[in-house]
Amino acid sequence: MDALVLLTLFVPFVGFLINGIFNRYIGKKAHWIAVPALGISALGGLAILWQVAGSGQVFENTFWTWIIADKLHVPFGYYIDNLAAIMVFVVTFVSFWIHLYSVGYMAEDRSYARYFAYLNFFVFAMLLLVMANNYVLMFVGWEGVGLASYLLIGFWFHKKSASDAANKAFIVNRIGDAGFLLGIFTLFALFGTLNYTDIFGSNLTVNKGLLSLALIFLFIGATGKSAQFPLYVWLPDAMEGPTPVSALIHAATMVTAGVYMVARSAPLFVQVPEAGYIVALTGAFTAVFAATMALVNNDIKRIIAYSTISQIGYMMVGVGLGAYWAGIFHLYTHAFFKALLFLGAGSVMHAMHDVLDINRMGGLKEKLPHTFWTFLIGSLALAGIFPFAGFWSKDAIIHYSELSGYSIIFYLTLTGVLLTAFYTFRLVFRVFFGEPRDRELYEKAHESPPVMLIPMWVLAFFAVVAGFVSGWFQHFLEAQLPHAHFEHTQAGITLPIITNGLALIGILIAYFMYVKPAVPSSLGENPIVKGIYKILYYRWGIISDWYEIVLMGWLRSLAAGVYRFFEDLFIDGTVVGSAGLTAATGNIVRKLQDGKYSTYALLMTAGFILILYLLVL
Amino acid sequence: MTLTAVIFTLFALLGLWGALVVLFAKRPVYNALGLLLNFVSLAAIYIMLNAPFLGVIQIIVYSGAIVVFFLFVIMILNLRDPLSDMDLSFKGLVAFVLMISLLSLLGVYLYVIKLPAWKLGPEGSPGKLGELLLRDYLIPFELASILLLVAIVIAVVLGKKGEEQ
Amino acid sequence: MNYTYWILMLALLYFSIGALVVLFRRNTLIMLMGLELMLNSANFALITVGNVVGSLEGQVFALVILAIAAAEVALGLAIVINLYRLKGSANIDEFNSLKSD
Repeated sequence: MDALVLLTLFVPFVGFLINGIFNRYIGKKAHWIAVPALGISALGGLAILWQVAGSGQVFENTFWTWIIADKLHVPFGYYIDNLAAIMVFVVTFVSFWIHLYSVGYMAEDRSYARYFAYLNFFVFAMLLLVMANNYVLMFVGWEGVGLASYLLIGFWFHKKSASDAANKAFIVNRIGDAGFLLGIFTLFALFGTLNYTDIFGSNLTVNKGLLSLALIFLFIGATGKSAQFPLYVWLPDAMEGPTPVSALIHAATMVTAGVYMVARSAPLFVQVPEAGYIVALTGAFTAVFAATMALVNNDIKRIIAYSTISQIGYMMVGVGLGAYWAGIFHLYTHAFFKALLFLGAGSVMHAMHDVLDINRMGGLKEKLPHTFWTFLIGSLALAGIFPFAGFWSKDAIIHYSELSGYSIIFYLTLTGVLLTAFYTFRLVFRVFFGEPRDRELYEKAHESPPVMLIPMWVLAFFAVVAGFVSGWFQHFLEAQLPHAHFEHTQAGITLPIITNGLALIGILIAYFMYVKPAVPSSLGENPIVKGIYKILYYRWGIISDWYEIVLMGWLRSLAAGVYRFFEDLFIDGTVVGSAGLTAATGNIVRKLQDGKYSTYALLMTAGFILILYLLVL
Repeated sequence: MTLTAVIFTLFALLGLWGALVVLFAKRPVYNALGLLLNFVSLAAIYIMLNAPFLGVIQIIVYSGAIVVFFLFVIMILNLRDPLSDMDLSFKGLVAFVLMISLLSLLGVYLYVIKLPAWKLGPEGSPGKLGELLLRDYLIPFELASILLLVAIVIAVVLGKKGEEQ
Repeated sequence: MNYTYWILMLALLYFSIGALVVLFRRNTLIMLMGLELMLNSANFALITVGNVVGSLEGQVFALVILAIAAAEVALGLAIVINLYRLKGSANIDEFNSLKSD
């Protein structure tokens, strides 16, 4: 197992090093290193899952102790249980297909090798996060993921919007990371260790208040990385990066980290159900809130981005309510169909010469048949239509939210289903159906090369079948993860009918609005509808503005104050002072170097006599 | 105090006088003569220390060749005027302090470690020295001769360069 | 009264005066004389110790040093003459430039 873990973890890292260091020489051949590296890693992930599933035990090993400081011992080791094995598999498998797709998508880019180096590093960091056997190492991976996302979102850094988006992602994530760090500190204060086995194996009857504080801090970290309310703002902007990167961020390597972290801490969350309730409520609210913003957006990638935020909200509901397997199951199915949707969007952009506005598309069904069918499968899975993958996982979450007794969460998740179906099919209908709205672009559109289509079809296949394993999945994860005790009423037939009915209603509304306009156009003139549209179009007009009003004012003055005192006085003082000290020392010492032999001879003799003194005395 | 000791002390003081002349004399010729005085007294001391061959060589090489060499250079450069090259700055003082500290350090140290009592060793006759040099210390001997050869070559090169300028 | 000590101290005294000549005087010619004094005092010490130890090796080394001193003074004086031609002076502190200008 040691060798397998090291192989899976470090092969992408080696790929990153090779492509990163020799990128000038490798150039357009970078994929010959990056893609096989991920292939090996994916096979390793599969082997790990196979072994874990076969033996049903937890694999743990420590290679060496990384940090020793008083009581704090941070080992460098792995902890692979069923949860981590599933994550490793999803991360490596989905990433592999995205890597393959990138070969076609990025073929024209000048910084080809740099792109693949970052991509490999991204996967490495995520694997480190998943496989770590303690919170500190997880945090290392967590930060590595943040760094990689920063580099990739700002990949086209010559575009101001891209570098701004990268900064935004980085800074917003940093706020979440501060929460995560505080959580780690609190956990350390409570348990005196940060290793999973030590914490989970210890007597968990600690101060409930402090424990829930720690968990809330951890969840703040999760809201940053997993783009939950109110720290979701970076994710829509992250669309500035190359499209496969969005697929990677959304499906495999980044936003799922928060969900994973909450699930990883399941033994702690089970102790304090109230903390889980906060997680679930935030998730449910985000699920609907993000969906409303997706309703009216016109940017193909942003719509999918908002859908991700919404779907991660669902996952948070699952893990928050204690139905960990359902949350992770949704993570797993979502990885396939969300990667698929992004790759499809990338394919559309490829065809449309990087146009993102869905108002300029339309009728692409004939031009891009493969893209259309795979995109349709992904959309059906996202909308949760039986029997596609999204149905199984989303229904499981809604089922548990019904059982949990928190009716507000239940109704929010149901509303989310309706909205999701509507905006997803609005996207499908606007892009692929109807008359082309931009003839010129339409004529030039062309289907993508096979290297892009094959990953899409593979993912489409999984978007269909991934949900069928739900029974096994539940059994597999609940074998090792603790879970809240629901009355295990078998999911009846009623709930699936309701959710599918809602989804179909959403699709029909979209159909009648965008394909066969049955909605009177006068409705658009109605001031109330117009007002709602405007609010949604400007993303509630708010969150960013609220940040501006509530936070930025005093943050700016605080920063200015800090700048004045700290920067000018301490930093500049230190820097300038050390420079001055160096110069002053130099002025004194340089007199020794006057170029005169007599001085040198004297100094040499003095040194010799000094050594003699030291030897004799 | 035996007669040998008296004569030894006499030559030691003569040598010291010569060394001090080298140190303080202002006309280069006097310096060279001080050097000669030091060398000759040391030659006498060598003979008293059972090293007659070295004493003779000392007179031939040092007094005969090297000091004459110095005198040659002084004549060639025509250094008639008294020199004023003594370092009367702070550095000169430091040099004196350093040497006094060296003397006192080693003086105390050698006194403390109790050197073995004085005795005269075997006489360094030319035959015995030659035997040692050509048998046990052949390699240093040959190296010294190579060094001399190299020195000759370098001296020629340096001289030629001077001519070109 | 240990003669070994006093004879070695005498060698040390000569050596110090030689070193002082090197450090105290600026004229390269005189500095070379100081070097000769130092080498000679080293010979002196070698011969003394050879006597005390009862071997001739001290004298052998002294002979080698003598040869080296001869070579050294020949080269040193050649350099002094060149320096003198270059600057018209043999003051060591005037040669403080690494470039030949």
